Amino acid sequence: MNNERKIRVLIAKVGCDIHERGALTLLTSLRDEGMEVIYTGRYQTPAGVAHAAASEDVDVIALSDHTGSLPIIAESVLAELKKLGAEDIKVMAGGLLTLHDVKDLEKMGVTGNCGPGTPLEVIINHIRGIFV
Amino acid sequence: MKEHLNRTPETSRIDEIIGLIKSRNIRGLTKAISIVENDGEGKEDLLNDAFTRGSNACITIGFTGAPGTGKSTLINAIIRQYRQIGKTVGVIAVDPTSTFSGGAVLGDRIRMQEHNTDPGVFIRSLASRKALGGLSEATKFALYLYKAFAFDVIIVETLGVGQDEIDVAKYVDVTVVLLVPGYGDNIQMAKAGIMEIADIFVINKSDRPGADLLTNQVLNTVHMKPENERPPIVNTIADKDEGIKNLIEAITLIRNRTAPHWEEKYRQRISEEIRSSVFSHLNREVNHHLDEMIEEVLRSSITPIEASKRILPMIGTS
Repeated sequence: MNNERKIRVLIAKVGCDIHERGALTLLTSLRDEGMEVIYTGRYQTPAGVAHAAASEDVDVIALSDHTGSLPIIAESVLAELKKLGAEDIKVMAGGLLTLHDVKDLEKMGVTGNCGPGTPLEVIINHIRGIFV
Repeated sequence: MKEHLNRTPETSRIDEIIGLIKSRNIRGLTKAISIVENDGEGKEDLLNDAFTRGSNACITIGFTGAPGTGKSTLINAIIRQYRQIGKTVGVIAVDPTSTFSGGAVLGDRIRMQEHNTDPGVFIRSLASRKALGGLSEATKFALYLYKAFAFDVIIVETLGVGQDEIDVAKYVDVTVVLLVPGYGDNIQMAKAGIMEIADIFVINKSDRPGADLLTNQVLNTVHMKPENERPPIVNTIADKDEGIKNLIEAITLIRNRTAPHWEEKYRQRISEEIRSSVFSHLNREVNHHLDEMIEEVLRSSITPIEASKRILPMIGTS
């Protein structure tokens, strides 16, 4: 059929972080994997990201950040998702991450946390893995 | 009671979504769009509900034009204007699907981020998937779902591929065609298709050189029509918020001008709807028998035309 189910991903950047290359690379790479990808652009708020994700009915939010704030960002985005009744949307994080951050993120239920140097296939496989 | 026994979990989920839509919860609307877009179970129930409850009280506006003419930026400015007068706005933003990977980058939303947390604005991006003519089947259905959700204003941004996004005109009240200076000469103007569906021409990026020339060229095209049918031409600079009020005035003007012809337009839409629903059922039925017929034709026992004649009587029996 024409309309097979597509994986929809929202790539989001929250707060004051100019580093966009990773998000843009992911944007085109996920498209090339046959996914439908939406990018929020930089300097967003957690509420804005959650609202966009809920409106677009995405399967995953991929948070990108290079300021070392991913756990804080994820926590606020999750809280905003809850307000909107959109807790079913998965959240993953990528960018500047310490092992400590990863532990914190996993406690919140944020999986697929990709630090610097993560090969693209790992990210792609993680997203695909959610839907098997 | 009996009805309850027949309920599968799937139908109760659809009921739940319809309930959410009725209480104007965006999660309901967006889930419904996903189901309709994916041709999922419950699609027909959702659409039947939308057809039953949807009204034509809202104003629907289609925006079309080549890539880079500033459709998303212009829509962003228009949303702002409509919000100032307290209207709720729903946007369907369509972007192309890659024919190679089947994936898509849906990039319209990025220009409308300022409305992200406004509960009076709902923006949903759709990929064109395999649609031709600029308006995917899903877009059309999403439009009905939006109508049932009762936004005051519904905006459809269609694929900016070029000269023939003519489909959109059938489904919206007002079609706006965007042009920018430096995109071809009078010959492009004269070409059929996109220029003929315009209810309003917008010359965006009007601060660029060549804007006056382009405005004159469009004027010449427009002058072929009788005065009371001429599409208004509006000059805008979307990113500087200039000309937006004029555009909204033009939209209201056109909507009032075309009011006497609405019934005719609704008739056309309904006939399209029935037709396309029949075709999609037919398609599914034909697919059942297709493989078997392909084999026969490959073995040269029959021709493709004969095969089609054999399939016809089988339809509706399986």
